[in-house]
Amino acid sequence: MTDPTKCSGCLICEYACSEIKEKSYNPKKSRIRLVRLGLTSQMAVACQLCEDAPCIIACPRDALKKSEATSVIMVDERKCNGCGWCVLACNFGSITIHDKKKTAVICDLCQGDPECIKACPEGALELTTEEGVAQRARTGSVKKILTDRVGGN
Amino acid sequence: MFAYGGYVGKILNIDLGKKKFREEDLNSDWSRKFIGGRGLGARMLFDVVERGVDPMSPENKLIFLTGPLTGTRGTGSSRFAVVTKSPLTGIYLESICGGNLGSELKFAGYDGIVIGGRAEKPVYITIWDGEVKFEDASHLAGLTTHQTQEMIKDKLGGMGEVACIGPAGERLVKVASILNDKTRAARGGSGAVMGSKNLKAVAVIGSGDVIVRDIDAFKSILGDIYSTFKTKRKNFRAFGTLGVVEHNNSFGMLPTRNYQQGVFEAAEDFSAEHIMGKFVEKSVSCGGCPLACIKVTSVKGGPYEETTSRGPQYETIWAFGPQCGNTSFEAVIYAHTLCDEFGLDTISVGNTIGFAMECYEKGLLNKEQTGGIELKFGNYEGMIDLVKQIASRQGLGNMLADGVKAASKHISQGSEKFAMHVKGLEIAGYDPRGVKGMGLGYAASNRGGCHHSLGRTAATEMSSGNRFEEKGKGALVKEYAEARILSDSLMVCTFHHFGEEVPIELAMKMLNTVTGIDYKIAELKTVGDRINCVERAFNVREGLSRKHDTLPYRLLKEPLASGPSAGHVVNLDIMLDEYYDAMGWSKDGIPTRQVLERLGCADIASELENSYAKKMMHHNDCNVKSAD
Repeated sequence: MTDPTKCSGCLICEYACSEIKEKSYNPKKSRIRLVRLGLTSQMAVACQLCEDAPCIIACPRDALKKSEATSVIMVDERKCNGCGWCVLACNFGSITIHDKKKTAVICDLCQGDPECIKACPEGALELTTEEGVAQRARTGSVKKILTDRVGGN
Repeated sequence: MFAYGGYVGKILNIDLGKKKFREEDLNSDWSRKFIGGRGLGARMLFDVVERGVDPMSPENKLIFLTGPLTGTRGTGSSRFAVVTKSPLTGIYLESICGGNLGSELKFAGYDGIVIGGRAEKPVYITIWDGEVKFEDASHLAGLTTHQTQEMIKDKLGGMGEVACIGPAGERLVKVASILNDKTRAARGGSGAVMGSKNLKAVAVIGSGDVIVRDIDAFKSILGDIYSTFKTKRKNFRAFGTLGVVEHNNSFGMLPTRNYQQGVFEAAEDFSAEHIMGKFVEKSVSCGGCPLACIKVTSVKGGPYEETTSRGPQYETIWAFGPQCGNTSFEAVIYAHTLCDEFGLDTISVGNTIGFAMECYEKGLLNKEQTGGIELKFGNYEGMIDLVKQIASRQGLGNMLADGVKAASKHISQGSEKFAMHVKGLEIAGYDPRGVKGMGLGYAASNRGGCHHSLGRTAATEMSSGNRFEEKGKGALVKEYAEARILSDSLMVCTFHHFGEEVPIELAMKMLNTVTGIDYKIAELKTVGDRINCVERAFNVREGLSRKHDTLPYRLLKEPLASGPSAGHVVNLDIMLDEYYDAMGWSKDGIPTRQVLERLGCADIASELENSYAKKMMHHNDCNVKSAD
């Protein structure tokens, strides 16, 4: 998840990803991609680990599978032929086809310790769950109500 | 594959007149000796632009160059250097642009582009992974830099990076800039060179890899640099360059009302804290940079409402604030936005408008000449009008569009004494009467009055308490120039402070792990000296010598009347002697054959001897119209 208020648009997440995954620098091969819309509007997007993932449904060769342990979408490179239906199906533009291997490339969360998060100089990236996001919103709003209305600590 | 890591090994050579292009191999000897960016550009320019070429003619070349780190995570190096012969100064120019076009060019398969000739009609170039196209740009005529980039990117499916000029460059305004995203190659009028070639924009899309020799070692060095920045650059990350206003003011060297004073009475309203609290929306970065020094500001309410600008940085705040006696920060933001949209250098424009204001107050310009503007210091509406007039070459703006040197020649009546430029390039927001090394930097800079190109010694001089001394500044500037030129050639942004928070040893390690070359520290210092010599050789060949390494009369002869720097002028000769001596140049500021040979540039020495400069080196007799 990216906090767009913190993201400075520096692209270091893209560089860090291609550095660890491809051993070269090439943002277009990064599993996380930055989108810039305006002077202050920018954020990075990666695989959202959708519960009912459209990419898996779209794959005609059953090459994609969701890991039960980590929720990561795994690509079976023996089955994948780079047809790109998963790319079309993904709502977040988070899948690319590798230029040499010709197979789908999806974020694997670096075994739970993503390189992009470690590299982000602004602390704008976070690995979290829907429950984590919701809990923070809950806590935030309750804090606000208690401070504003009750004035307590 | 190229001999060294980090580089692609290819230069794209474009002839606009013939609408032809060819790929050339990067000269590996030169990349070893000059590294990239500014250094490699200077060496290439010396080769491809002969003495006496008119900067606005098809014979001038516009060179875009990256460095070996560009396209890597190698901190703050997504930039590109524009190297050309300046129409503003008639001499060597390097002008460096942030953004992301530098990286994109590497991904597209080129270390640089050399653009020559002149298109018959306005065109823009697209470079897509080695495929080069010349596109009709008539529909882009007169469009702002933002509109131009958006239109071209739309056509390219929202992808890529675009460097372009605005209406000012099209109209050959000599202080016109080139923009990529919202960062600029601002100084020296490279935008006018682009305009003279009928080239509206260069668009690049790349999908290739940049491969470095030892990526794991490189990554670990970057880790060291990042953690240094987190502690030692905390203030800079928070405020960018905003803090310089108060800092310079407190030392009485914040040039105010065209350098008539060194203290600005409204400096508090321009303080970092005030600006951060009232105007800054967000901090943003160029590609690969962890410093996020760009503070996006916006105006809420008033005549300039809904103006948002990517900046302004210190120099722009100075140019449209104290320099013009303007106390409205809203007007600074608006003037800055206009300059970006029209494609203008804020330093040169603000400096020149301040000069015109002084002329008006002294009765050297009348209301008829200003088109009815009551052009007194502090009249920010008049200032904004003049920015528009300069961009469109209308009214008084047409004269100011050629820079302060040309304007003072036109106005004459003694105004030359307070036309604040060196070699035609408008000087910046540090009054060297309060920090002497900066005076040497302005005077000896190879591109004219620049506070950066030989390193910015100000902070060191202020903190070490010897800011008023001339003695020792020759060696100091040489040392700072070595670090700065190295930084500009690796294409690492100046704010990464090579030689300070990033010691040369760390810079060397970055370069070695990327290229696979085993540079030593001593060798890297000579790289800076070598490049400095080649830049200077370009100018010497044009007829320049010591007498051009000077400062405006005001800085040499008129002491500041009040404030913490009162009573001081710049005694330049002491510093020039020291600097030339440290560089091993002649008393006339000319690199000797001995020095050039020691730096591995015997070919440059021979070229100088074979050219017009031979006469000058031997007879100390120089008189070239374009340079005077």
